[in-house]
Amino acid sequence: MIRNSIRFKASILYTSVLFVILVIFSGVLFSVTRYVLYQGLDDELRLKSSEIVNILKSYEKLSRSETPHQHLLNKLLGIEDRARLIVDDLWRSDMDALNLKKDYIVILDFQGRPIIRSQNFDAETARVFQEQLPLSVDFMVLKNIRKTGRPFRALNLPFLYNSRNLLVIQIATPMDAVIRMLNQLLYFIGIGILVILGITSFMGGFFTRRILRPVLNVTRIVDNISHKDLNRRIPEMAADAEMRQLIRSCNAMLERLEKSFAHVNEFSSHVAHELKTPLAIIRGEMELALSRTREPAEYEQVLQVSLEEVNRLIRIIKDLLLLARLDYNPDVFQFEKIHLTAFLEEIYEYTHILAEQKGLFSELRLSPAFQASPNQSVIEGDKLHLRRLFLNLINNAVKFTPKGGKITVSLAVSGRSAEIRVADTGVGIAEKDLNRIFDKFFRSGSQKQAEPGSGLGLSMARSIARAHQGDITVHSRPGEGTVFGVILPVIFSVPDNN
Amino acid sequence: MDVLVIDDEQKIRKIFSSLMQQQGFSVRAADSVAAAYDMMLDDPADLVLLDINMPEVDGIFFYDIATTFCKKSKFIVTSVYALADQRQMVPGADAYYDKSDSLAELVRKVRHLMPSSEQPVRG
Ligand SMILES: Nc1ncnc2c1ncn2[C@@H]1O[C@H](COP(=O)(O)OP(=O)(O)OP(=O)(O)O)[C@@H](O)[C@H]1O
Ligand SMILES: [Mg+2]
Repeated sequence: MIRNSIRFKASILYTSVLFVILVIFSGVLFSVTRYVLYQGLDDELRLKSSEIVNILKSYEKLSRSETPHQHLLNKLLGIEDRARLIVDDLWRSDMDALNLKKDYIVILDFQGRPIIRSQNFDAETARVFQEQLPLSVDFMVLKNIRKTGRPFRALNLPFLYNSRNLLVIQIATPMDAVIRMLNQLLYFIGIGILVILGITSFMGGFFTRRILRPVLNVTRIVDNISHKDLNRRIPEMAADAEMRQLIRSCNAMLERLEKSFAHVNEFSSHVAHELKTPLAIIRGEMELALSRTREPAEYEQVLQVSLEEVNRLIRIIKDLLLLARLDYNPDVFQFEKIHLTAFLEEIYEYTHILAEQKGLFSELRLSPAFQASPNQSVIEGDKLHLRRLFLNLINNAVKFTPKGGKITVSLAVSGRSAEIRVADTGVGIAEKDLNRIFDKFFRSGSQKQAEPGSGLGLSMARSIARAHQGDITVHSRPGEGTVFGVILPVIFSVPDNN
Repeated sequence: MDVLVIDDEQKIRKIFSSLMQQQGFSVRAADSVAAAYDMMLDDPADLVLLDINMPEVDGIFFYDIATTFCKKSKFIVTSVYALADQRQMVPGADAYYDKSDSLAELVRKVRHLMPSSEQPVRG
């Protein structure tokens, strides 16, 4: 499994969360068990001691002589002596039930002098008891003690004998069994945690793989899509909601890619066509001219045509480079504040010159509202490129308007946008061509032969307008004329002090 | 033999016409499919040099129509597209010529299509 994968991370996360939960749970379980077991041990000790005391007391009346309890206890502890004869079977079974063989028992007087000891109670034990279980004549004491490394649970219980003697019984029972049990529990808990973690990390990996399978499927499909089959889409059915979103995004991206690929294809075939035609003409002219000797005038003609075509080539290439820069490199624009009225006057001057050359009328018209208010609208724009935009529109207007027609440049400002219109009374544009005139290389058929041009002018104009957060609109009626409107955002209107 | 040159580019029409005349053919030229259509109805040419990319109606459409009623005419597609693309756009034409190739190449293709009885008179 790769370390930097969702599968790895998910299973690490599962496992560690589960680990924490299991440790807490096991800790609680272990403590409760230990508490219960210790409690049991204490209960047992208390029971044993009170039984012994009871037995002692039940023999109070039987023998008030010397030390009746001595041989009774000896009997309890299975010590053979002469008093054995008076022990009945009942007592024996009682004492057997107490199971005292492994316990150390001592009965002390209130000064701590031992009166009775179990047989196994040697000097060493006495020392341990003295050190670790101090005599208490007032309270019952429960304590853990250690004898030669072995753990014992010990009890100190004061009681009254014969209603007047204050005695203390001290009893210690080994804890080995309980500790062994607890150790075993700990061992099982440890093994259990490991096994559970192993299983969950495996299951976690398994489930994440299942959950992530659609991702892998999508990846595989996307991997197999090349530029040749961009029309392929990732099937959406039977996917989870989140996956469907991803698939939809992928498909949308594919669609955009397909479109731009188609666009690039179409564009390059256009470019090839537009560039090869002038070259074909130059080559043809030259080959034809060279096929036999010609008059100087004929050669001149060939050179003339070739020069025209070379110029055409250069213009197309320049325009294309400019267009590419406009569309893909916003840095070419150098924005500055431009006063619309001054700029428009400059544009109009050029219009006037061009129109006059072709025998057209021209007019500059500012909207009455604009003229009335002494405001000056300012736009943020690149003067050079905006000039180019309007020159393209004006050149078109002049080109497609027959002699005697009129070209009107007008400005209208409303709110935060200004619209500059270039209107002509020319041939107009057919309805079906209206949405194609902004395409690169598009030139409407009827004009193609009559007027030179590469069909890049309007694409360029639109690119420039859009780089200024504006746009270009067109309205036209064939035979009556065309109006191009350039919409540009106005940044502010300042009072005109001049 | 007579040749019809169909191309919207005036300079190309002029070059092809001169070339064909040099080869000794009689030449007519049309600047659009509409004009060419009339000429073909009038008097089908033996050989048609047909441009693909033309405004209004393109050469592909013309080829489809003209081949149905001018079964005897030969068609050479002359365009600036690569030959493979031309073949794809106008399948079944008698020959294809890339306008940026040399004129000699066009002459070779024209001659190849000509019946052997009608060898051209060199101009
Ligand atoms: N004012 C207009 N009146 C009529 N038709 C127009 C007008 N402006 C543009 N057109 C049509 O839109 C087409 C595209 O215009 P565009 O400016 O992009 O190309 P062009 O003028 O042919 O070539 P270029 O501007 O690159 O020299 C033109 O060929 C013409 O058919
Ligand atoms: Mg133009």
